[in-house]
Amino acid sequence: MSRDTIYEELKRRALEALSKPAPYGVDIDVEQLVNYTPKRRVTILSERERVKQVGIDVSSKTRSAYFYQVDSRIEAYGSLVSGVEILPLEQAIEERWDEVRKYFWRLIPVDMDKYTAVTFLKSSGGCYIRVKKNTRVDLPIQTCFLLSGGTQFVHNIVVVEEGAEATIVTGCTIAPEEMGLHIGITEIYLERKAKLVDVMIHSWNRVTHVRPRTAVVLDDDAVYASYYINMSVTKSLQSLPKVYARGVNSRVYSATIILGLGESVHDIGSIAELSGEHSRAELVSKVVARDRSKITTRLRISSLAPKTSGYVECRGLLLSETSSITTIPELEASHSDAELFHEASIGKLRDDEIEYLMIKGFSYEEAISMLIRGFVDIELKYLPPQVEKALQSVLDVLAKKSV
Amino acid sequence: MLRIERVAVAVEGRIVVKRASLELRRGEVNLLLGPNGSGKSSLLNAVMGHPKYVVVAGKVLLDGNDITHLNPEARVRLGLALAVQHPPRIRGVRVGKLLEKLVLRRVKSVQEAMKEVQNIAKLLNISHLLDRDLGVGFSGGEMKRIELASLMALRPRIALIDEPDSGVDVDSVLLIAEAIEEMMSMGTQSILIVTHTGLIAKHVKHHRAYVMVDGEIVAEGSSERILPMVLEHGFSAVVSCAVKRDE
Ligand SMILES: Nc1ncnc2c1ncn2[C@@H]1O[C@H](COP(=O)(O)OP(=O)(O)O)[C@@H](O)[C@H]1O
Ligand SMILES: [Mg+2]
Repeated sequence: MSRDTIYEELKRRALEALSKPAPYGVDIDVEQLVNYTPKRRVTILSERERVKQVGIDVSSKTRSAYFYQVDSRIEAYGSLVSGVEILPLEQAIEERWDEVRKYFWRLIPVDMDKYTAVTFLKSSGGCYIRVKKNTRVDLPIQTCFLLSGGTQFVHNIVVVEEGAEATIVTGCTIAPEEMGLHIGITEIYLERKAKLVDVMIHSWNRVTHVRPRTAVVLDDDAVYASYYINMSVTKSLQSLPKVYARGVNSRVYSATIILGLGESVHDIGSIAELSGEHSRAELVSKVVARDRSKITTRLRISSLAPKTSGYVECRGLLLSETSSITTIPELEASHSDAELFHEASIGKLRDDEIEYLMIKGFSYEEAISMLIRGFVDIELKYLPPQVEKALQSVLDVLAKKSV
Repeated sequence: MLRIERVAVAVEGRIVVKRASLELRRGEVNLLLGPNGSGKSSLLNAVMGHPKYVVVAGKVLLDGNDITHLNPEARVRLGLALAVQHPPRIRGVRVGKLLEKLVLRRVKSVQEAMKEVQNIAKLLNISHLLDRDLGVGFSGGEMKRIELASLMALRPRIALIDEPDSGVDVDSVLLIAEAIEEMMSMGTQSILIVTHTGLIAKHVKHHRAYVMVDGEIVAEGSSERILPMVLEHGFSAVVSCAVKRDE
């Protein structure tokens, strides 16, 4: 099929899905947001401090590659190591269609919902990242998507070739008090023995809607670890990344950490489908709800092949009488030797723990923040040391913000 | 240094300490004895300003200043600290991190604090627990040693230690006794130890003892005299033979 035919077909399906709501999350009037004009245009440099909060240090020499986009404008990108290619997806489509077509809308159906459809039709940026065979980079690949206000429809494709290992740190944020809709389509392909650590840190505002759509496929012995953190007021966020562990002995680890503030509504989780023998998934969510926020977490593992195993952990912490948490752990197995289990709990901070810390000399606020830091203290797996440290300090900030 | 004057303590609306007066003097190790449920822990918690243990009568004076209504943070800053009888388990809060934060209350550099934590841990044989969640899966002795470590980290002028010798193996008692000695040499000027077994008293030099029964201090005096009496004849004997209090 030629590129034109493929585009025609995608377009036809997208147009049909333009008003198809997502099964979860509040339904958004996309048109209204498309026509919104922000008061002021921002740049990565003008928002240096803001992007730092989402893990992007633009002055940092400690990155292997970078891609910075503001609204639909790609500000800068480049790679500092030979094994990592990074370029605008649109350019990759122009110059390397025969390669890119294998990945383009292959994991995520363009007509999945109105958000995928509109992203195809109005696509504005995004990157193509390719980590070459056996390349191992400890320094993270930084990608940053900043929004002045209005809409941002981003499509990213990531390919990690055989035996290669990389870490991507993505920071997404918006100017304060600006209405916005951010949609990020990300299709990730991990070849044999590839390993990708995917760290995503978000910080939005009380009038922003966020609809990431992510899918990942793993070949034999591949490892995918994802960390998702949102610690800001967000009007609504809905995301349910899907990971297909098709390879034998592939590994999936996913940690989702949400701080619900103000009137935020979150519906978030992940799905791991284990169709490769001996593959394993661990999905963890730790969510903290304050004020009048609402959080729903959905974690699901499907064991579709022999000797697959998985673990789901959903933990919720309610800090106010007016917030709410729903956790939906789900296990499915079609093989008798699959080993799956889950743990779920929702609770509040314990008085005896707060009092103990106060007796040791911490203020009430310090005690609360220490306990919340403890609550969100997940196992930081597969992370290179520098990124681990950065993530630790992001969680420190989150704990402080929760008081 | 610390004077507790006719203090009554209420927990959840119930009076659990009716009237307690005691004094901790510079250079002394005092014992607080008494049967289970007599109100010893409640008194100590109230002295620390624990929000659940309310002083409803009397006052607490530190260096002559009334601290009865200060919050615990302020009391710790003034040099008071408590090793509690039953520390909670706290998931996600690592022993090492907690100790480090405590040391950082008086030491500026993180590196220095980390080093000090290492030394404290070595002394109390808890180095293997520094990376673990507080209290999760710990033995009785390990719990008590960590409480002592928290005191060493704070380096208070006045230390209150609640039953360091209950539910603890002999080795732990010895380590805790050693830690108490070390604290004295590092600037702790006065210590109150709650014990009902008297085990710790065998290994730490002590001066005076108070006996609390049913929410009241019923006896006080030289610990050399009172402790053997209690251990031999029980608390009721001490009450009936009425060791006179020198008020
Ligand atoms: N947190 C609490 N809530 C309710 N009752 C308590 C609490 N702490 C202590 N008490 C009650 O106060 C009394 C004295 O207890 P406590 O001070 O622990 O005695 P001791 O330390 O001498 O064994 C007991 O009757 C106990 O049940
Ligand atoms: Mg007690």
